[in-house]
Amino acid sequence: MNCESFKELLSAYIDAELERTDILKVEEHIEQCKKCRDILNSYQNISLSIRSIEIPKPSEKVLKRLILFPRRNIYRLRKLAVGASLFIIMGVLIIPFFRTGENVTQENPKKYYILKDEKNPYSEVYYERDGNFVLTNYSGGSF
Amino acid sequence: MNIEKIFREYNDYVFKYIYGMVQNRAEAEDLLQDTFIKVMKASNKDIRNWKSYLLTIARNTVYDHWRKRKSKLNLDFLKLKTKERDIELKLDIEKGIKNLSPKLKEVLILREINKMEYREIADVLGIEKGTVKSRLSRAREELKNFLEYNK
Repeated sequence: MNCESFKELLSAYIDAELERTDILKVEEHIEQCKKCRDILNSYQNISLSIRSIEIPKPSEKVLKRLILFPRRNIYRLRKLAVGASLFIIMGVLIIPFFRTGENVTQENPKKYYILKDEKNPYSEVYYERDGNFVLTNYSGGSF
Repeated sequence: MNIEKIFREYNDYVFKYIYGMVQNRAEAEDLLQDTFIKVMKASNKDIRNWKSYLLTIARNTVYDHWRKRKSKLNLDFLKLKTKERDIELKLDIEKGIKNLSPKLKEVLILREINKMEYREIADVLGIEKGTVKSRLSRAREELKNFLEYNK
């Protein structure tokens, strides 16, 4: 057998990627061919030295940036979505509804909607009741 | 699947491949970042094998990077880069790998560093399993010759 054509088999042999018949063929051949035994030996050494190369890990800074990046983006998107939906709710839905002042009390802690008006220094706070938006008497300050 | 979890799980694996290809840490870190940004921008639906998906994107990123650098043709820049890089290559084997053509280099990295099977390598590179086998054999032969010559 031509040793040159054997090299591919030897290489696949060390990767354990040969069929059983080819494994036997290789083992039989290297038994009697010193040249191929040497080649196999150097391939194995090469394989070992590549595996022993010290591969650095990516630095913490890069990893942090990578892992925070998507979260930051999602957060931004969410903020945008919340902002946009608030704007639509405020702008389109609320205005036609009645406005009666109502106390914000412990008994009616509901989901509150805040309407901010550029001209009005106070924010108007609404909550939803039976499908209507009800204006509270809340004006300004932290909520 | 959660993208953050994917990054945590596979960054090391992808980095190994990229580092093996460029053999420079800073360069590899930039490319790792580019790779993951590309992944984030993609829709990533129906990904069954994240490992090979990520490697495919990493591979495109590395090749794009080489193409761009080649087209710049800034000789001073290239000189500096090679110098910098050589400092990192401590072992003869590393120098030998650096001298391989990208085609041979990548099968070797995927096999020895990422420890992939021939079938997986063939899938990532989009080539036949037999081609993986012959390229690996050629890569080892070239390395063997390089090491013997530089003894």
